[in-house]
Amino acid sequence: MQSWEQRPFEYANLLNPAFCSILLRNAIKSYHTQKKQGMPYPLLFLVLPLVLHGSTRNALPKTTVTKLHIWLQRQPEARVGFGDRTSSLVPYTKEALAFGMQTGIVNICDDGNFTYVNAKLKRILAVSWSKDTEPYSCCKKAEFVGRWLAQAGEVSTIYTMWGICP
Amino acid sequence: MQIKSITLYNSAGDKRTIDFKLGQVNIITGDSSRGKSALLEIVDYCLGRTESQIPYGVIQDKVAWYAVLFQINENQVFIAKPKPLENSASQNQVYYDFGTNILIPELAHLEPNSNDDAIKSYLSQLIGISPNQTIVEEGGSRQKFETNIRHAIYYLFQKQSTIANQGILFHRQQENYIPQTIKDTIPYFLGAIQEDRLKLQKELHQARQRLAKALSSLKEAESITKKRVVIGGNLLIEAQQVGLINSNFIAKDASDILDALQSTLEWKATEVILTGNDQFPELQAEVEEIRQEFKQIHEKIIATETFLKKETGFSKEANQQLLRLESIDLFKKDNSNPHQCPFCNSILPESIPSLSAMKESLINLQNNVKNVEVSQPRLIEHIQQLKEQREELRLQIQEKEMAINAAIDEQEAAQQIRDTNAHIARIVGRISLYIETLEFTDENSQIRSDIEQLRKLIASYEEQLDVGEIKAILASILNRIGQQMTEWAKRLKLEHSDSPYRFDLNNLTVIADRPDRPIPMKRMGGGENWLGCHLITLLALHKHFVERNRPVPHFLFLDQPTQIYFPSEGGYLNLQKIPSDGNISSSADMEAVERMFDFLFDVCEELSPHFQIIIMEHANLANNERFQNSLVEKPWTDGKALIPENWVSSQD
Repeated sequence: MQSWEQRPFEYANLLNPAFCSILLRNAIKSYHTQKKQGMPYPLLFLVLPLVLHGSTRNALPKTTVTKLHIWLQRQPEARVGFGDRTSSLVPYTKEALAFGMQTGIVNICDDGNFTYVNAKLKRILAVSWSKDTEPYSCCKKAEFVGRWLAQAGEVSTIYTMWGICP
Repeated sequence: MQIKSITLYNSAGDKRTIDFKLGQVNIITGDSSRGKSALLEIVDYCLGRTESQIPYGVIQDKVAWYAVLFQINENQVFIAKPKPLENSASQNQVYYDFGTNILIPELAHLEPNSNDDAIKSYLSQLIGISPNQTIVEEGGSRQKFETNIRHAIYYLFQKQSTIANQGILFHRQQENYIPQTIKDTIPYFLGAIQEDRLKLQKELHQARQRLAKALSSLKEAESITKKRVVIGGNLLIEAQQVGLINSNFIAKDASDILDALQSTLEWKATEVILTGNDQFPELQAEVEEIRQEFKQIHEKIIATETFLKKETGFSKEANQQLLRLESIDLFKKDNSNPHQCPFCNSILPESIPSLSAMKESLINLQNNVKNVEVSQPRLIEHIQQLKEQREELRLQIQEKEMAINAAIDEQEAAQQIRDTNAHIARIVGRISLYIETLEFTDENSQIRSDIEQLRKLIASYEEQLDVGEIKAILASILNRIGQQMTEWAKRLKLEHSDSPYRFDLNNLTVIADRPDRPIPMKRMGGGENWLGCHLITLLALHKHFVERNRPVPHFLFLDQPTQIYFPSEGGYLNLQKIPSDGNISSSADMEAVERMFDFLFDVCEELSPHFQIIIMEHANLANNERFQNSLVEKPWTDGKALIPENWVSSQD
């Protein structure tokens, strides 16, 4: 991972750790609400590739009634290139996690899973993300992905569904 | 695919697991109404059957979830389904897990993460069913469909009511449409259809489309060729009329015409002689100049507009970055120690970007976007000016052209000559076009060779896809299976075992070809023969599936195969209480039972470790060592049953 000043500025700005950590925190929060336990570390790496890739984000189902496994059987094309995207986003996920912990918006539980810390962020009204902007829909979809992964089964099973290894 | 274990959960979270041995015969014996037959239905239900056939009563009352652990080569798939909801016989929710060594999960863990449809296609892929389509003979009204794992279940289960039934051979064969489905899908399972047939069919379809296209363009080109000679003759006459060719010339054949026409291409127009004060060249030069200027300004406008568009594009892109960077404003607190790892407190080699560094980027970007927006209005003004200039020039051009027209009108004499020149020029133009079309001859030959190749390609596809070929392969496979059946019929000492036995695909039955007449299964006498026919057919099919590595689950459920050897229902039902084998009507029948079990053990061993037989049985052959070694659990008598006693007594 290059230092902030050395990165190409589009990459630095678009994948800035503040934004990514908010997406992760949203996913962790809804995972926690759904499953009443923290989100396992390996699953965190699936959030950014699902949410930041435009065509994948738009293809996500509207509700969690369509389970991940069913969705993947129907949309096998979603798997194309997913492994590469995921591995290229690994350093960003790690950085965002570290950033989130430094700012105290996410935390690690005793069992090694990740959980969120309430009331560490301002309301979304503090920024100019109206409902039709991309950051807003990324945030919403990150929440969805958290809920969705919570209902998708074992961590290893989820990884084999995508055909990738942790 | 074989069965590793079957697990039941009650609503309190207790588990009851029955483990099976892979690649062997597994036997469960016990009293009636102990849940033996339910095992078969549970496996069917967990293989993606939405409608549950599990008997009502104590099982449905006490069990909350049914689960089966399947072994597929070195992998395992755990499939669990909740029992159908109240007032419903169906349930399509599924929890599944995939791995190499799966521990049976606790009840709290079971949350649906899939459904029957997804599981069906998933399991089909896992056991190796490739994309395929059933074959409907020409004129058939049936729909084509894809063979999947659900179409393999007919070869996996033999219920108590099927195993010695004289009328039907396969699981569910008595239901509507099932016999046709079996006949449609068995060619794929037997391996009579190429795995890549669907792909070949698509390629054939494409080749046919290309051929049709090539044929139509050939037809077009040929019709042009035909007209060619006629048109050539007409052109020759026209050329003679205007004096391009000597009017006494008579063409003998097509090549004569061609030569004559070719000579006219060298024609040059006679010069137009202009008289008096001629403004024409001067005016024309002026118009040309204005046109140049007009063109330059037009290009400038286009360039500026493109630039403007790019600028706006940049500001959009930068806006996107701005929006995402604004996340910074959501944080209440700065990350005070960006050099420190939050996990282990060590110093990071590359520090995490701090909020202040990102804020700087935010401010830079905001300034950039502002600059872009400020420069835009000036450009728009610039474009407006250019457009006004362009309009003015256009008016000038119009004026000059009017002047030119006036000058031309003055020279009607010159006009006359020009007209003649134009007429001749037109004829020469047509002649040159005509000569160019002659190239078509060569193109025709190219199209013809393409067509020839496509025809060969299609023929080779058609040969590969020939339904007759499939029938021939199928017949040969069935023949081999028949041979195996005949051999095994002798071993089991079936009634007509001196004649060949075969599996009749059209009627889904077994036939013994006696010298005088063929005898179908339903005409054979006695339960022993019917049972024998079922066993030799199913095992011969499975032997073929295993040896050819076909995508069919490699296990077979037999529910109470020995029932027919007992003279009375009562005698049969009481059998397990007297394990001394004393209740069988005669020693001959006892011998037959032993022979049947030995046969099952031998076949399973022959195919080991690729085949598994699971037998539910009342009889317990106490003196047969192989039988006793194959028992999965202690006989289900007295307190023992599928549902543990403490589940039944507990109130819930």
